[in-house]
Amino acid sequence: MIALTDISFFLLAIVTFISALTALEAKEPVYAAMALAITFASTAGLFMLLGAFYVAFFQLAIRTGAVMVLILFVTMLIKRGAREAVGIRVWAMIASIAFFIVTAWIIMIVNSLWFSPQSLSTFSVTELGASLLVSYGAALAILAIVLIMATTGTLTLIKEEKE
Amino acid sequence: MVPLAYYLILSSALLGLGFYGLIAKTSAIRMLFALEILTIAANLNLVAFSAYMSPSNVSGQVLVLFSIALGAAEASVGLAIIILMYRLNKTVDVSQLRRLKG
Repeated sequence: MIALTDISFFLLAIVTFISALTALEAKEPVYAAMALAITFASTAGLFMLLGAFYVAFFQLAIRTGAVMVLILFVTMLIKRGAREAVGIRVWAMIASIAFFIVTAWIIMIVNSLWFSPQSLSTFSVTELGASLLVSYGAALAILAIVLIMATTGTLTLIKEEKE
Repeated sequence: MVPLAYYLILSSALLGLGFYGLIAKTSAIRMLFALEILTIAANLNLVAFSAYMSPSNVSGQVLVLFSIALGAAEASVGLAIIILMYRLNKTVDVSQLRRLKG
C-alpha cells in the first residue's frame, strides 16, 4: 500500500534531480535557466510535503519568481562561449558520485536512530511571523542591513564609470 | 510517511550534483546555477530535519526563511559580478580570468 504522499515525494524528487542535472548540462543557457526554475518550483513542492507551507510560498515567490527573472535576463544578455574543461570533468563526476555514495551509506547506517513522527505539524503564518519578530528580531534587522548592502554593492558594481 | 533518510539522500544527491557543477563548469553562469543547487540541498536538509526531529519547533523554518533571503542577495551580487566580468573581458569563461596570476 503506497500512500499518496509517497508517490508525490518520489515524483518531486525525480523532477528535482533531473531538472537540476538539466540546469547544469543543457546546451542552451536559457533552457538551463528554465530547468533551474523547475528545480526551484519542485523544491517548493517538497517543502509543502514537509508541512512548511510558508517556506514553500517564500521559495516560490523569491526564488522561482524574483531570482529566476534576474538570472534569465542576465543569461539572455550574455553571449555564450565557455569551453568545457574535459579533463577535470570526469574527475569531478567520479568525486561527486563517490561523495554521494559515501553520504548515502552513512545515512543508511544511522537511519535507525531517526523515527518518523505520527503527523507533521504545520505552522500558521501568525506563529511563524511572531517567532520571526519576537525571537529573531535582531537577526531580522541584520538581514535587512545585509540586503541593503547587497543592493548598494550591486549598484556600485554595475555603475558605468565616467571617463 | 516517507522516512527522513529519503529526504537526506535526495539532499546529498543534489549536493553532489552542485559540487560537480562547481568543479567541472567554466562558465560563470553555470557555476552560479551550481551554487543555487547547493543552496537548495542545504535548505531541503534544514526543512526535513526541522519537520522530523522537532515538529513542534518553528526555528528550523525561520532559519530557512533567512537562508532564502540571503540566497537572493547572493544571487543578485553574483549576477552583478558576472555582468561586470562580461563587460570587462567580453567572456564569462572563468578559466580565462588569469590576469592576477603571477
